[in-house]
Amino acid sequence: MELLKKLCDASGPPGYEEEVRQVIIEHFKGLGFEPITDHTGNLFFVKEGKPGKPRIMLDAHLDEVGFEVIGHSGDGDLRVKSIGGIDDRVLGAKHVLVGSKKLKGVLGMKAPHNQDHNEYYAVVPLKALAVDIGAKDKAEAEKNAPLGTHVVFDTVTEEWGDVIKGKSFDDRAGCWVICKAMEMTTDCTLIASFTFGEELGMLGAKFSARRFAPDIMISLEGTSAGDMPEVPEHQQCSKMHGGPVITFEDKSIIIPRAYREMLEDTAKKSKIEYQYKGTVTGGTNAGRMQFETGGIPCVVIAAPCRYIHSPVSLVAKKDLTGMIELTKAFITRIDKEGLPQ
Amino acid sequence: MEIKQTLKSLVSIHSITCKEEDVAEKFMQMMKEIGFETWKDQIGNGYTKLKTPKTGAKTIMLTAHGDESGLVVTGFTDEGFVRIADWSGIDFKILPGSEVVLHGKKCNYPGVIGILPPHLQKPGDKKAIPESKLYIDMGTDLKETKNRVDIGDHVTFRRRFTELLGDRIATNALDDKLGVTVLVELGKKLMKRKLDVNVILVCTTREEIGADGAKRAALEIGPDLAIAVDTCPGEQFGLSGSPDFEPFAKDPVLEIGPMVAEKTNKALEDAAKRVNLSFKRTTWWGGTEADQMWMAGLGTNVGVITIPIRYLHQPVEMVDLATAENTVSILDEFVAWLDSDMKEIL
Repeated sequence: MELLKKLCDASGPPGYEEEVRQVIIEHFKGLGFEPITDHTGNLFFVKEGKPGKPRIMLDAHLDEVGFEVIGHSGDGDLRVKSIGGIDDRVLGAKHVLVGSKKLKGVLGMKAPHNQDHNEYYAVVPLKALAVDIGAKDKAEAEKNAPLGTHVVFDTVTEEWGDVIKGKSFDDRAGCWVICKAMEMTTDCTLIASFTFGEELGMLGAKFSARRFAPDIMISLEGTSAGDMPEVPEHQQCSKMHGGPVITFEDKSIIIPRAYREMLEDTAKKSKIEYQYKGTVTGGTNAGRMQFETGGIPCVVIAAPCRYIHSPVSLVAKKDLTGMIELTKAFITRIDKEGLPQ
Repeated sequence: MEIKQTLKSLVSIHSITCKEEDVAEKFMQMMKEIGFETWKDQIGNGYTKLKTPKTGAKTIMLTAHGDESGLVVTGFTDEGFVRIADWSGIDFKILPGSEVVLHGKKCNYPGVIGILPPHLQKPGDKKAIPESKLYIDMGTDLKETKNRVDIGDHVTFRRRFTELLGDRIATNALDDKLGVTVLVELGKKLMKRKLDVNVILVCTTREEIGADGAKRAALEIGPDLAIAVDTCPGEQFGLSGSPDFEPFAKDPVLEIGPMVAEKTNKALEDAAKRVNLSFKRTTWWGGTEADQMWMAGLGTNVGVITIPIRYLHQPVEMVDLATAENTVSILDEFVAWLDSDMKEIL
């Protein structure tokens, strides 16, 4: 779990994934892999298999939702905009980390004592808030957090019994699963693809797909678990503790049926508890990849995470280990049987 | 900075309104080490006293409240989530995405207050989520959740002590552990003085729900002058220049109005001048425990000193410690200046 903690605690909103890349590079160097990078911020590792065997890409995105400094107020506050979808309702009274030096800051609201009735019941949008790093004036704010400095929620990853709390399982959970899966033995070629900018529109996946043109891509994601009060069963998307999530369709992709069925059958045969993504919501790099390459088959295996895109998400350890097992079992099956025709 | 350490150890203690024993104990222990006599009363006030050798000397009492705002457990959902309600002054809008501590049957448990992710929200579903729809997630099922907590158990925010640029700190419950910190630091200074008055410093209870603690202290002690040391809203982003917000990181604030005698405020301002500091004056905005002390018994002479902090009643309350240190210096000068009969102000 040490690696997962390091990955989740790293700051990396879209376009600012350097710290996450370094954690992954360090891990793979320990395993004897050489990093391959491109000018956009994608990161790859290749484990060559035997000739004639399928080339399998494992993809996860490096980035998380976060913010970017877009200005400074006269009092020394940082004006920020969100990069990636963050609900205004999770912003108030939160701790944040600013820039690669991880300066501490807060997003504070007006005291309840000073709100009138209408204000009290209205959501405060991000544009009415600012990040306060304690700067005494504009100059100090500009010096410490210049325009374009990135900001993330300040949440420490912790194990709470059989669940883990952290800020960025979407998609450090996927990054972690790839780190673990790449240790397996197979005759297939494995391409670990850590892509930038998914939260801004699956930017990195374009280049990763074109560069390697694999035979199949497995997208490893953190997805929404909606098993919460007052959410009807059919709108829950997935459930925490329900095992890895298999997608048949989301807003970016329809998974080729033969591949999805092979994945599902693998889970059954390996006795791995799994679940379907029960809603057609969200999108993943798989969609971008399938489109960019003119239809390379893609599947999605995801960890059901509660409260993604907020400062505090939860994921069950069991679902993460299930994800690793299913990924490995699927690769082993492809190795043995080849891809569906 | 000694004041920072004192503040840090006080804010690390969870002390929701009506459950302030731990902070009162900590305060009394700190004051005992300094050399004050200490005792507590049945409702949870922690008293500390420094006696003057002068016979028949008057008594000044300074109070700061030990309680903090928080939530209470009101029930459970079938899935094992914990339903909550406000206990003592939390704005429900700051709850989604927060980390909290549930004060359970055997020990404390961490939890988060979640929100459905944007991917699963219905279009247009962007209204503030009322308290009744919010819940705490410990990652447990109903059985385990009920093993841990009961209806009526308290919930406070996860502790954070965040050092920002300069002397600025963002942390929990500065309202009013900052006041308690000022009392402790004042106690240290007064030990080095020759005083003509008795000094009683009190860490009070229940300010957030009406200041019963301070009222009780005023009745119990019957001080000749009682000063409440508390916090007030300081200027923050987008609210500078508003009359409801006091300049941040500048002077402590003196309250004027029907409660406080002008003689008292004048004497406090003179004390500030003698140590090259100053007060900002403000008109009554209400809500400190001086209100209750003023009205207690046959009436008490009161004063109110507040320190402007940002983001009041949120787990990111922010202070510039220089303002707190200046408050200590002024109060030290003021108390040392008082005659045994307090004739200048009474």
